Amino acid sequence: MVRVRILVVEDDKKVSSFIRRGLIEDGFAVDVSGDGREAFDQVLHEPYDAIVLDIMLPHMDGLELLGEIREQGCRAPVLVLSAKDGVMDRVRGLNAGADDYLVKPFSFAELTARLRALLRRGSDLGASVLRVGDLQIDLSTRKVTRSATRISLTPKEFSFLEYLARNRGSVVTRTMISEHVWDRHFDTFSNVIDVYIRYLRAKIDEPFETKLIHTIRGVGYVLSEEHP
Amino acid sequence: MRKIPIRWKLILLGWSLAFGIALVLSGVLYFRSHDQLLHQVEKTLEWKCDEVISVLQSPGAEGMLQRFLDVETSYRSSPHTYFYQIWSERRGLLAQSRNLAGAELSTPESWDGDPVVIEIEPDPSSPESRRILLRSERLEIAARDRQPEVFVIQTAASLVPFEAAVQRVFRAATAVVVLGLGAIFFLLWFVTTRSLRPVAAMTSRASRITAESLEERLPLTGTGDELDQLAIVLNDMLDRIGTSLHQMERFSSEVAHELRTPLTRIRGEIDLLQRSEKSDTRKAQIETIIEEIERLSRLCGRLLFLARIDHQAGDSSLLGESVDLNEVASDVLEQLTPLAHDQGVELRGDANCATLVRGSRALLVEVLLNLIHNAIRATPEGGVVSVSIEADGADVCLSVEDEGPGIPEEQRELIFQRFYRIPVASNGSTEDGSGLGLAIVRGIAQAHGGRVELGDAPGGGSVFRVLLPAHSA
Repeated sequence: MVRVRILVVEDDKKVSSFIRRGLIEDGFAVDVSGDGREAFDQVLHEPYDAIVLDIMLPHMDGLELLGEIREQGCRAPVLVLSAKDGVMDRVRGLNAGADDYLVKPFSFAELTARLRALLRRGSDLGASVLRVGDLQIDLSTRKVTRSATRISLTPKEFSFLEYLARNRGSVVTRTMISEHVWDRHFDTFSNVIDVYIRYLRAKIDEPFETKLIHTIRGVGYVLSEEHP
Repeated sequence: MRKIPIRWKLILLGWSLAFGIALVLSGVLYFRSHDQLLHQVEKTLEWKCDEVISVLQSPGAEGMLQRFLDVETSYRSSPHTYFYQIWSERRGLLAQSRNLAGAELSTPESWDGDPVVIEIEPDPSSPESRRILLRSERLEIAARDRQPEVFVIQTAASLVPFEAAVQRVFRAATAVVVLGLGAIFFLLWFVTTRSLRPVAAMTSRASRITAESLEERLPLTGTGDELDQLAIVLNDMLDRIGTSLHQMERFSSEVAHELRTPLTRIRGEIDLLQRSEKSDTRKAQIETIIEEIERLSRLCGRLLFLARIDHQAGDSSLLGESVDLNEVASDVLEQLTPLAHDQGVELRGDANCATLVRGSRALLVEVLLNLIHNAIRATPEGGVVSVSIEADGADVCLSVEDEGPGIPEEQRELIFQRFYRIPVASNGSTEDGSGLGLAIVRGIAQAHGGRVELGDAPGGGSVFRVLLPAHSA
């Protein structure tokens, strides 16, 4: 099996160290760089599958580096780490070509969940039907069926389910959900997600034998046929 | 009170001063000329009386009296200007000018010599000789052959020509005053426009400085006049604002970095530790630590957010978007309805006016999320939370009303302060609250040039009102 290669660009040794250890435990191949220029050379010479990039770097600002590697034709998904959580900071990061923006401090599970989401992104781009077990989600007609039973969902419930299904098999965190389904970056949102998860469970899982929506304690949710 | 531009105030002030002065001057002029003209008439009467006296004194001239009067009153262009009447104490009426047409001028009771204005019976042939000035003089003529005789010589003048003259003076004075005031108005207009132009230029320049960048400064003309001094003071102020803003920004980003980096390290290490931990007791202990780290991280985020909001107050870059509050409210209501429903609370929305404000949509959503969240928490099962938007003068008022226990008067100001929590929580769910929610709501409202008020809801609960300046599209 080819291991997924990840470059971690972070000048704080202690932070880069736990990221490296954690990602290796999770089965990734990890390179670490603490300097923008060095990282730029590494990106040019190694084909990375994803890059974790801190914004505050010595010698070269993280966003500057991002702009340059994008100019060099690097398509690898980039997850930006930043201590700044302002809306403008976020917009600046995404405009510079970042694929996701994670505010420090973050839980390690959040980091891996986002990385996995980035790595699998595009895999079902163009697919018009998402399948998880006997659950079918038709994206063009917005029809949801399970074992040929039609399930009717509200628009919000549908986009929630769609987001879970696009990340089927991997965990999505509450922050990811509030960002993608509700476009929220604040923390006042948590209990709304709980309510919607209950709605979805009542419609998708309760009438059926096999449960598809699973809670990962302290992390988030996963839509999957087998219990993780 | 309505705002009156300083220019209009100056014009009004200068103009009313000029008006007052003109009024006094023209009044003085009017009365002076009135008196002078009247005095002239009196002098003429006196002189005419002297003529009659000289006629009376020439011996044997009494027979010529009537002829004299006829001549005196006939050669004038207007035969009804002067009137004569001569009495003898002993013999009664001696002679009368014919233009009196038989009407008798009364004899005066006192002899102080002052002429009096009287009215005589309208003469059908000369209706204008109504008001006349009458002068009477007593004259004693001693004769050798008989005892002295007392005469009363009355001369009168029609006041019509005099009144016409006074009228002319009045008209001339009025014309001068009106023209003068008009001229002064335009003069004031010109002067105020000219002298206020640099102020207007300074205002637009200053507003551009705050909107675009704090680097620019107001130009000095170098004359050292009042405007230059104002510019110097404003420039100093801009320097200070720039410095404190810069410090604030640096402080925020330093705090962000200095607090968040160690939090990130702790969080990362403890997460890895938890993953590899086999013992359930230890896992639970680690869980507790993680919860505290999360709380600390949230707090750090909120404090930074609050600091950013506070220093954004009045920053016009924040007010870039035109936001429809109705749309924001229905969006937030839709999102929170399931949550409310879940807690047995009904969420009602009522919006009925054009409600555009300038600001940041994301921040206004945050305001509503916070307020509605609080309201849902405070309202017991089966209760109603209503959200309404209405125009309130120049403001848009967004109110969130709950059916909770209400907030005691003495705590209403406190709850907006950072870290303040109501002592007895209605349902004990303040655990996850940072005590910063309402401080953030107020911070956002103030950053938008608005304010938050807390009042009593008719049903006994609280009503939070967010007032934001309305913005017309």
